[in-house]
Amino acid sequence: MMDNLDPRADEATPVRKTNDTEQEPVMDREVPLASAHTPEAIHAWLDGENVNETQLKAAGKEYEFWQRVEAETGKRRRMRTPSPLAGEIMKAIKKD
Amino acid sequence: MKTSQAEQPQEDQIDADQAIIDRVLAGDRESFATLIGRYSDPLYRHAVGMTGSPDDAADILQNSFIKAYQHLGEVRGRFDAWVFRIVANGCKDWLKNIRRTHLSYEEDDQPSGYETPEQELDRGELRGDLDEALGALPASLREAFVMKHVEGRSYEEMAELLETSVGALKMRVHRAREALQKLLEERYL
Repeated sequence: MMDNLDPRADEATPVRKTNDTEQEPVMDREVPLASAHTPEAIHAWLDGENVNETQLKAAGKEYEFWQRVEAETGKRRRMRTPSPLAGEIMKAIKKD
Repeated sequence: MKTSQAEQPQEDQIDADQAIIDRVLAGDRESFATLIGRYSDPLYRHAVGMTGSPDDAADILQNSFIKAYQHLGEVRGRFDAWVFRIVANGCKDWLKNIRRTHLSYEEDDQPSGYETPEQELDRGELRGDLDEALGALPASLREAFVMKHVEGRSYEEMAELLETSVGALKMRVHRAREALQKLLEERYL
């Protein structure tokens, strides 16, 4: 079977009536998602907007929590592909 | 259409990638390694973020680049966006096929891809808890969070790659953060 590389291939689901608000795929709505209230200042800061330090500090523990998450995701941003992988891919290609 | 200066390097990049693709299609297979080197790191981060497993991420990346090589003649426009979709679909297929329970990094002795031994050793509790919480998110929210926070992409870049609007992606990222905070608040807040 040929691979379908159309970027929209996985969106080829039956047409649903949509409205102005975004609808998640059915698979994503199977489990109701509980959510906390994250202050707008935190969202804005995480989105890279300029936010007054006083507003962030007012968020207290939530600010500290997201600073920790940011530190962790920052480490992940520096992850590199394992060095042997490129060679393995090229070896597999040459076998073709 | 007005083209900003910031968009200019992107056009250059598309041309440079296309030149490499032309060489590969003409028989110079070795040139494909340049495309792997150019794009593998952000794609690897995406796959690790989506699967929580460096080992599975490496498999997805390998299969995706092989698939990309086999279908290289079908590239229209940006190679990076095209190969991103192959990897993203590979991750979604993996999520559909794998019933994940809990993947512990401590139990995973595969190379993690962190740069230094210090980073390798710094396996705080938050890392495992964040992985577990990310694993509980619906795929579309996890994808948006990983692209924003782990890959460090702008909303505009995400919108281009996922072919959706900036507003929809902001909503997904915000929902992902609020769900993650809820999942982790008992322990960390």
